[in-house]
Amino acid sequence: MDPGLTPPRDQAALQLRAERLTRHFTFGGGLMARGAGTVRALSEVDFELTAGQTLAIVGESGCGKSTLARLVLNLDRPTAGRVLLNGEDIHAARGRALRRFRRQVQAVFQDPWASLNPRMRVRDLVAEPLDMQHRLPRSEREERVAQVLQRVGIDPARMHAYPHEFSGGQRQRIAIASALISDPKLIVLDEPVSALDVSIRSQVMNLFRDLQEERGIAFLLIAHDLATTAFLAHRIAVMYLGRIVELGPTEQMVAAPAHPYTRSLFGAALPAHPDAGPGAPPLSGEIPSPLAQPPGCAFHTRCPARIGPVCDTQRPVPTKVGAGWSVECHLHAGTEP
Amino acid sequence: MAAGGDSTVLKVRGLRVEIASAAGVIHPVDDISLDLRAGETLGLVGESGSGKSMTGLALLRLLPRPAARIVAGRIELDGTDLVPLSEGAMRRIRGRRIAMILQDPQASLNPAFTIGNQLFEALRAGDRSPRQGLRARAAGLLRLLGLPAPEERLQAYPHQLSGGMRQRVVGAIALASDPQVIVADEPTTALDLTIQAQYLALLEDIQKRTGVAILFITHDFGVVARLCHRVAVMYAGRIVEQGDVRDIFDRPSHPYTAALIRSVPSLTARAARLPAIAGQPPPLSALPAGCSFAPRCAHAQPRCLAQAPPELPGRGGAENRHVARCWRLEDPSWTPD
Repeated sequence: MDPGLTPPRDQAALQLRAERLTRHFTFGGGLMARGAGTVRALSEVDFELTAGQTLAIVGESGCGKSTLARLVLNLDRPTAGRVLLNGEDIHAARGRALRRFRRQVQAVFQDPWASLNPRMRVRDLVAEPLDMQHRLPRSEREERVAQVLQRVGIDPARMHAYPHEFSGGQRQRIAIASALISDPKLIVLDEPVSALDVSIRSQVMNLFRDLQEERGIAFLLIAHDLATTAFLAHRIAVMYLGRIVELGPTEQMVAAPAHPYTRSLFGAALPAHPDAGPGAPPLSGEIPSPLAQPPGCAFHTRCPARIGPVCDTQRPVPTKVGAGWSVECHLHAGTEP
Repeated sequence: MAAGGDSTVLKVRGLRVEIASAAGVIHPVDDISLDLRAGETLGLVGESGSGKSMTGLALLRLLPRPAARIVAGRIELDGTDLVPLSEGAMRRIRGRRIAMILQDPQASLNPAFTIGNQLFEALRAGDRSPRQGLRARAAGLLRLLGLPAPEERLQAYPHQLSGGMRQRVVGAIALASDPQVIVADEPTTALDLTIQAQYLALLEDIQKRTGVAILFITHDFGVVARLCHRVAVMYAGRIVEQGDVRDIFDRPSHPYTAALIRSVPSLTARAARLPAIAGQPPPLSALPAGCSFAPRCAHAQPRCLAQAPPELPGRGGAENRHVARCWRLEDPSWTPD
């Protein structure tokens, strides 16, 4: 059962698929005089996302979530695997197909200071995705800008102002307006509320929910705050050292996480009330360097539920533990329902 | 010991900080009073620009000069008022009897010296003890802060450690001279979730062992729920509510506190919409007359817009040191829920 969400109105409108998506960075000699190495930033990631849905990617620094976002946005190319948007490989797109991709897929980033050019007027910032494709008559262009500004709660009369004349929360709304103007099918939200104050954060999170309901936009949400994630996402993918270790429906996963890392991560979430207790005992140790990934299950060096040698030597395969719910862990191997 | 015979180690009364700028004179800290007892953690909560960090800096007399200065009030550390002290006298107290931990450990560590060197310096500043035994004590502190292989870490430079480890080193330096009070300004905001959980558990443990009083500056009510005994909520330079952590969560008595707590999403109870606070905090250079929160307040009455409210007993009772600045509390049956 899907938790409290809008049914996708038009399944055919969007299908994003990542297949065995992999990005390894190799370096050697040169400045890094200690020799060559490979950073396995992202390894064999599979997921699917359809219209009206939000998939959240959660994990700690270095888990690969930003690399994943860059690949989906076509800002970087995979070393193996592919991303399909409605059946077409996005990294093979050229010319008109690439422009269509840029129109259909937009992004909102964490820091609204950094993502808005301070020398451009709000009007031109918001219209940028439109200008990339075709020149609209000035009146029509301003009309479209006014519409999206209105929608995100910014007075359209202020479209001639500069970004510094707005507060952090308003700037993030302007960034959202710009992402909306080309009528995208998918928006990658990279930590979209982390930089906002608590009282502003809930306003912006409600706006995302409303926009999705109205327009059937799909969101790929990159976040480290779990409560934000649980509020916005229908499904959650938990990443550890470049791999998705668990992917499933939000409510079931929050209630009963299957992977020991998911359990520790959710257990480290801060309580909503002083009587809620400290959650799961904190994980010991630190995340291993992605340069020197442990063999077997990447989490075995910190795992509180390690079974035995199998965890140290053999990589677990994805196992289905429920509808649309899979986990990579030896604890669940052979329990396929 | 401090006046009153209780274990109050830090007593702040009527503290006021002034910044004179081209835009006029503002008071980022305005008439702040608070008490901190040994072994107690007081959470100073607020959004950006509320004055919480400025308050922390003022307590250590570290305000950016010449722009900002203390113009009124007392800061009594164990009975000694710090406000009139000379810089030389202050230097003998700062880092020894009252220490600070900042959000960014990078800013507190010198990149050119080893961790050991920086710890030795802090240890020697504490008691001018001879060099012998310094090494063992430094390693002991790192062990107390949960760093693996502490003897080896003494030779390391800051850049060779992860963010979480660096923040532990900063904690070790702050604890080196066995201070009575630590002011911690968002020390876990830059850390990953599982590392944050480790760090908070560690602080709690160290406090139990040493009895150090902690002023924990944060924007996050989750941290407050996890760690704090007492809470002071700041808005536009003032403390609008102060009380025991359970009173703040269960009987919030200022509409701002109540709305903030409601607007934080919960991991387990997935709401359809988040209750949001309309508008944004006022600029300090143009504070409204009366209560600063009144223009955003759902409970405001004509008097709130005209006259600043005094401190009144909160719903947890004056005997529990629960107070709030809200006119509506004059009516004992009123609640901000």
